[in-house]
Amino acid sequence: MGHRSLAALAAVLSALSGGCSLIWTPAIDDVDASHGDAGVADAWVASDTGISRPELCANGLDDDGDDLVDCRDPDCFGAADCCSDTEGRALVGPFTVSGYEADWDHAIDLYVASEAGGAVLDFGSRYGWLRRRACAPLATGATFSLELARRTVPGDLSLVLSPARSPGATGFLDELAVRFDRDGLFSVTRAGTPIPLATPSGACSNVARSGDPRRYILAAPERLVVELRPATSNGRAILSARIRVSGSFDGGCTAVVPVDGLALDVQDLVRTHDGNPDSCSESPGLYVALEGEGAGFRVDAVTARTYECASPSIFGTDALRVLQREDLNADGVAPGFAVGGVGAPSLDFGGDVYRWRLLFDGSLEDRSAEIFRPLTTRIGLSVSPNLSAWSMSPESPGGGPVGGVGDVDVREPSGLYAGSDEIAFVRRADAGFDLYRARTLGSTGGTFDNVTQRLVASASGCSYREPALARADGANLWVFFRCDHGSSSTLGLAHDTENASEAPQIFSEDLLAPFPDIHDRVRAIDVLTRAKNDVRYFAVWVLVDAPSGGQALYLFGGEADDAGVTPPELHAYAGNPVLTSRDLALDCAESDCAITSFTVGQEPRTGPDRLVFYFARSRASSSGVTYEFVPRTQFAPRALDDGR
Amino acid sequence: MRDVLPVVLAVLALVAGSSSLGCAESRDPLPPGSRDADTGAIDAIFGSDAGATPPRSAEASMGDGAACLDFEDNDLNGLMDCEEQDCRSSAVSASCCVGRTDEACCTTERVDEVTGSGAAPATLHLRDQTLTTMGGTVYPGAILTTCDVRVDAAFAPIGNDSLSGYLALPSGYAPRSGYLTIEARIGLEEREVGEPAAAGFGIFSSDGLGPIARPLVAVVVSGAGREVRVVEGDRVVASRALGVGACASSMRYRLRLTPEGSYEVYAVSPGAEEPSAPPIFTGRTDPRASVRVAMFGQQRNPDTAPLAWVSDLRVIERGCDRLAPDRRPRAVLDEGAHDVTDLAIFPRFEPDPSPEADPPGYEALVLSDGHLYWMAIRSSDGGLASAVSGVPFANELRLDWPGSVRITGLAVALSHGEHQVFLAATVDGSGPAIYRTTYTPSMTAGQPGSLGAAPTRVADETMLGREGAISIDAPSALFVPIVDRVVLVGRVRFSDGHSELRILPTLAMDGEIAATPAVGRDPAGVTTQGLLRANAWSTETAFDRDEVSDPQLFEVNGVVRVLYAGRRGTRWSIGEIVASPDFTHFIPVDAEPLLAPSGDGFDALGVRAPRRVRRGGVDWLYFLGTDGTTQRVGLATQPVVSP
Repeated sequence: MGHRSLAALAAVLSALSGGCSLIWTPAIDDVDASHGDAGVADAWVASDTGISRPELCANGLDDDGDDLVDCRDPDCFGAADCCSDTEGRALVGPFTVSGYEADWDHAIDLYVASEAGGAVLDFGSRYGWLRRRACAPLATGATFSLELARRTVPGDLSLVLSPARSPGATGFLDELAVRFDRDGLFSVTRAGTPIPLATPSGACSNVARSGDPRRYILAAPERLVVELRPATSNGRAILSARIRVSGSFDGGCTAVVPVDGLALDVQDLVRTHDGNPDSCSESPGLYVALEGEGAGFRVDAVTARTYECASPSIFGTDALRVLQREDLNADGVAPGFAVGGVGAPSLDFGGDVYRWRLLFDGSLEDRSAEIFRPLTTRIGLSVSPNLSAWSMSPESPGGGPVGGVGDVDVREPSGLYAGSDEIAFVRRADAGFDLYRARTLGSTGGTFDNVTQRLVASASGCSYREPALARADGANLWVFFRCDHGSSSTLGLAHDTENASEAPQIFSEDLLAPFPDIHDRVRAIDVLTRAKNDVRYFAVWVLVDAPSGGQALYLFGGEADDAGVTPPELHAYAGNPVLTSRDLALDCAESDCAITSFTVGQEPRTGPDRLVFYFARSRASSSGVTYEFVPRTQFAPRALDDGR
Repeated sequence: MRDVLPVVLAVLALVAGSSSLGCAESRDPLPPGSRDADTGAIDAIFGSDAGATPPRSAEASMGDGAACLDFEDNDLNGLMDCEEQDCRSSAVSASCCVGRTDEACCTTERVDEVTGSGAAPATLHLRDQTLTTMGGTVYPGAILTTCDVRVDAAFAPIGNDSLSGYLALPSGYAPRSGYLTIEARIGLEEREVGEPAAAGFGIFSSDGLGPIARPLVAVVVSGAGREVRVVEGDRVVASRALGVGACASSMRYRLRLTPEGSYEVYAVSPGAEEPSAPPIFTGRTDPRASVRVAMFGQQRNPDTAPLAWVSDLRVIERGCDRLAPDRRPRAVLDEGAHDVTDLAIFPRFEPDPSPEADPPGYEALVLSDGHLYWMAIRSSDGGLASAVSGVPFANELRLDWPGSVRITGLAVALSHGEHQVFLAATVDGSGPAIYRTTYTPSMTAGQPGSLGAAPTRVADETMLGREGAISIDAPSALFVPIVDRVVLVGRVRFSDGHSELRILPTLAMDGEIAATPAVGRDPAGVTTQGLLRANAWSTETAFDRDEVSDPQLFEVNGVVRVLYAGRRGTRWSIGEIVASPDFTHFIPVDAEPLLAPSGDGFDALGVRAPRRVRRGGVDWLYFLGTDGTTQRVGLATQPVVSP
């Protein structure tokens, strides 16, 4: 688990606790002020909070009076000030595409013609398209702007956002498209169906063709801007789209057509396996393409800007590979103590030498045999500089506090580097599982060092499972855990210290009590925290048995004093669950895939600024059961990282 | 037409007037059986109020259940129609039970009981079928510890060193469309014979039965530690120590699953029929499709007598009127060269299509690339193919239709033994309209029939009298015997871009067309004639927000239902609507789609054109799945509980 200088999780923490879903505040002018859209951004205010004054996201004030300042206010979720860098990719002509598919990145090399003021986008006599090479990570927000002018020759042009392109299709499926056709008409379509448009601003009137408000006569388009901002609606993650088309309409008047508040359901946009090897299915994004026919348009500039806004419901893969037991060992041989399968991963980044550390448990027998009899389990540690090549630490395996022999059942480790290694784990006892802490797995193999038994099942009636360590100030630690009590499994929290002589203090065995639908369905937990101005901010992910069936991942946030005196009060993220049962299939086609646990870590200073999740999955087939760790990643915004 | 129309109008108006128009509170409640013959007869088709009436709310006590589907809060308690708990009973409103899992709605019961024979060799049976084990053995009860309870024979999982043994019942069960209760006795021998064994029973997906048992949920008694365990997959979610004595190690256990996915585990005392104590564990499971029930376990030492065993297995299935399709639909007509546009599936002969026949008596018309093809349903697994050559699209049906024609949709309805075919088509560049012709099956099974004379135009947008209506397509038809007419439903598109599912004219056998007087109201109370569903009703995240299409009318157990397709963005999903008994009001069964695009494979981006048939104890939901390139015929299934 991440331990230091934890990036702020701007959207995560800012989206917590308010309960008001947002329409992203700000800021076409933040993105592209040079084009004079200032003032348009003012329209982007919280839509259902009932507030009269929007939260400004970078002034250090609680503008809307909800006790949440700037990026901690969910109204600022996705706002440019609360996102990490924006990435601009501009294509400035001239360029020509001769009737066939071409990648956006290559387009600049393809031009053969130009004229004063810009470039001719020539698709030739067949329908063609110019596609942005990579899937745009639109789910985290983006803006596309297009400067264009109609030429005297016939032709049409569309900007298309698409979840899929399939071999044999004549273009892209338009989740959203802005179309300028050869008859001088302008329309916005969704899945090929034009939508009604608002009345243009200014003095233009009668611009609709034959009274059809879905098609305007736009003789001379000049500029198109499409903005997509992450938001939530009815508990679902959406992109809220806003479109501005300006130009000279019928009769010669100049106006802007605004299209606001189009909701694009994120689940409809991502993870579509359409048969393409370069499908967007592995990337949480969309195809962006210019489609058309002929050479009817001169394009002066195409600019695509995407944002790395944290979007807690959006998970990517970043080409990380699934880890199976043999992948955790440098020699590619499954570690002997884990030939029966691995589970309960715990990821963090740190140590004396910066590196990823992955704690896990492994069993000698096939883990599926546990339904018949107790297993013998051990705890292992693998390390990696880059999440790619892993090697087993010589400390592995850790066998528990009684010498590591016999039928010891130690499992579900949680690691935290806090000046020294801290490890929490559980061990089977007569009355359930007891909670232990240790400093290292041990230098001699098979035993832990500095083991302390911290919480005993028989003393409280709570069987302690799936501990998750979190940092507090000084020698203080927080221990989140699952409390199995009868048929309920709740989220518990204890305060602990590095001093073995001090007994842990349990604050709660049901921290999610305010959330009755899920509070007793907890399966696994992991936590990231950061401190700023003596306040400790928590992001707590909880895997639960979902009320609607299957499993789901929920996100909670909270704040506490950094001294660890008072526990955090958790607030649910408005877009929960951040992963649904369907998502948790994690591309598993078989029916018998199950997620048993997960971990989340963050690399704080080097490399891509991202959260890395590993989900422990068991995958059954006719030949047996495979136990593996499936990766997923998220952007982690830099803006609130107090280490920067 | 002038002679028939007044009769039809009178009958339909009578139905409408007797049940739902106006405020139900203003009418005298009608006790069951007090209505006139015509109304009762119609209820026999569109719903009934058979059975005793328990004490009800004012809303539910209107006698015929009509007040449960009139878009009125008749008793002013804040709950409208099927929201009223008392409406959700098959004795009050069968329509309100569609898609519901209230106990009072779920009445169909089937019991599968495994019986044993201790005569050598000992065997286990389900009805007249002898059950076989995989990696296990059937032992006579005489050698087992049974706590003075007679056991004729039992399954014992004696296998090899590391694998599991099991005995699975042959049929599938549908835990998400009803209540499923599984009971069995699990015995544990107390002898000191080396490593203890374990045995139990539970539900499995078809993939979960193999050399390594992987139950969705199961009850296992483990000799290691002498405890009873509740397991999900390979995870022990609860355990409880056994008591002492032979009876403690030879207990009956009950696993009860609800359609919502929760389950309870009970221990039943020796000699008792019902559990006397609360469940020892409650949890949730999420079967994605039909499940298998199996006894299973592990005993590593094959050289000893059984150390753990299971006997007296009994499965009780209580069905609800709920379609919960297998969430692993598959393509059954996967021809890359053919982009299927629409399909219609219909029984070959009236009235009973011999569902158990091989091949079953169902045929299909498939529209692809503007051509109509005939196909047969080939096999018991629902596959579609030409029965003649085995090659799909081998049998094209040609229409005697002059002019330039483009067909976009089709439907088939059976009336008086005649197959009426309805086609959505544009003819000579005119707007889409609905045309009718006939289809005559071949007298020889497995051979294509023939289409009748040139189709006649039966419905277009001008007949609606609705401003802005620009086209009609996507037909569906259902023959209603009481009025001796075919009710036609289709999709209407409007110039402002929105779309509606509407009742189109009714049609008589002689071709006479009559406008329907049926009146529908949307949830806001706006009355419109014949309106089933409009995308304008939806919220911004609803699955049918942007468009509705592809209705399919069908009737199950006297209730008329409508499957349809709804679009949000590029994604098409399938939803369901239930009709009021008088066929004037239509209510969505659920806000969530019945079937959504999978995101992977042939139906990655969309599922639409639902075509449901029930045969052979299975609901077969055919549909068109698209991955953005082509549309293929897919199939989702769900077992039906039948006594």
